[in-house]
Amino acid sequence: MVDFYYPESVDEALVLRAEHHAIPLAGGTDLMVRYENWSSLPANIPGSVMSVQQLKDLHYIREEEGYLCIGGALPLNSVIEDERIPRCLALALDEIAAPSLRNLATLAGNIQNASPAADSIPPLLIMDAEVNLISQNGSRIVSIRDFITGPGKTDLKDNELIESVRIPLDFIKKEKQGILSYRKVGTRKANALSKLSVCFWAECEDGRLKDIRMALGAVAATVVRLKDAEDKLKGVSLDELGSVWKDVRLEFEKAVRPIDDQRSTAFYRKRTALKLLDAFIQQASDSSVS
Amino acid sequence: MKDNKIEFTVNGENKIYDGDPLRRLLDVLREDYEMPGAKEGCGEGECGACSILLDGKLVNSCVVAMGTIQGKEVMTIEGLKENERGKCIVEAFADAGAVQCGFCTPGMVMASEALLRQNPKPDEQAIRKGISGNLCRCTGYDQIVDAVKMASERGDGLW
Ligand SMILES: Cc1cc2nc3c(=O)[nH]c(=O)nc-3n(C[C@H](O)[C@H](O)[C@H](O)COP(=O)(O)OP(=O)(O)OC[C@H]3O[C@@H](n4cnc5c(N)ncnc54)[C@H](O)[C@@H]3O)c2cc1C
Ligand code: FES
Ligand code: FES
Repeated sequence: MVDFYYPESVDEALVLRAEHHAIPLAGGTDLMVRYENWSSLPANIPGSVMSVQQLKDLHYIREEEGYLCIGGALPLNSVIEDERIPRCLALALDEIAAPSLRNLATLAGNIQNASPAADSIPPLLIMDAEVNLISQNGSRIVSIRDFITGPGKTDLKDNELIESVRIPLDFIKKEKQGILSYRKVGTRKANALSKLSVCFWAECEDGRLKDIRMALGAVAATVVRLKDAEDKLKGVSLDELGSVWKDVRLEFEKAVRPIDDQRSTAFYRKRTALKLLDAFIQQASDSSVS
Repeated sequence: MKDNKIEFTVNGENKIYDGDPLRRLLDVLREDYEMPGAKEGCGEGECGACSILLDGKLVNSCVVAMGTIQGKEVMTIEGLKENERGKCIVEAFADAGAVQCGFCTPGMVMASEALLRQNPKPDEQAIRKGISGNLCRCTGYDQIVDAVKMASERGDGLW
């Protein structure tokens, strides 16, 4: 039998992380499935394990120093139901699995799992969200961009826990003034991992593209934010946006290298990603008309 | 700190479990407590045949580790079918022709109960979303949607 711990407080959990490097078990929707055993045998999670979903101190949503902070152990359905969360995140989380899994699954689990198809990550990337990581030595804040280092890999140290996810209030305030496009392309509405997911947001002012943010899931080893393309498009007048995009698109085509897997083909992913981008740029160009 | 004795309730009855904390709730229900209502379809969270209510919320018991349910309330189809709401849903399923092989039915009934608790008068879209995590290989879903609608109407005031 594995060593299994049930810490009553965050402090106790951090001791377990430091001394036993106990693996945090939140909703278990990744861990219990990944380490599934023959039917009716206990899951095969290697090493010691500790439950974290009971840590009520990680079940909160509150504003702190210019950020909306979402506690690490809050189930996704509770996050979605909170009216303070940005629309792009609500849309994305609502596409994860099905209602029953969303009562278990957490945002911290989705991020730490670091799947190239993780649905929470495109919106978190475009918002420049951060994670607050805690250990017995204190806390450190890392941007989502830096936190995810590869497919299934993050910068989490073996004595740390994800305490919360931090979203800049600045973005939440202006989100509604901009144009948002969130799309998840999958085979079945519920419980299907993405073939592709996109999260785009743009703000136009005085006939120019003031700000644009674009992230794509499941087209590369990790979810990608198209920073280079964004920089080239920012400030462009909406009249010229179409032609500037044509050039940017060529470069971008080279950069996107999706893979074939059981859910979709590279060809389909790339073509669909480009079509969705084209449509979004068109939508931004047209916004000057209204 | 390392405590492997887990106390919780199943359909209102107190239980103490001191086995492996990484066993799945689904297996403990079926094997230790002889409650075969929750079914194993996929064992991976995809089909909903193992759905139960945990502290009133719909979850897939095949991904729930025993070690995480300390102090919680479990409700299974065996408990639900004894109360008025459960009876109402089960009858509506029978009357609407929503049961063919019946393998998905306990999970579908649990999902219907969870939905009606949240939204006693769901429209078709809300019903389809409410049962979106439950697969049925036989009925084609329309009869199940009808059954939930029927339960919601007949059981007016129960939820
Ligand atoms: C049928 C099915 C469908 C799914 N569909 C989708 C989908 O559509 N989109 C999608 O993105 N995902 C999907 N998933 C994957 C999964 O549900 C999500 O990634 C979920 O958010 C994981 O959260 P959890 O709490 O269950 O994680 P767990 O399984 O408990 O943990 C996952 C990882 O996170 C770590 N962890 C958990 N909490 C913390 C913490 N506080 N600090 C540090 N590390 C922590 C764990 O140690 C583990 O490494 C699906 C899974 C299943 C089984
Ligand atoms: S057996 Fe649990 S979801 Fe299929
Ligand atoms: S009735 Fe057979 S699976 Fe639904």
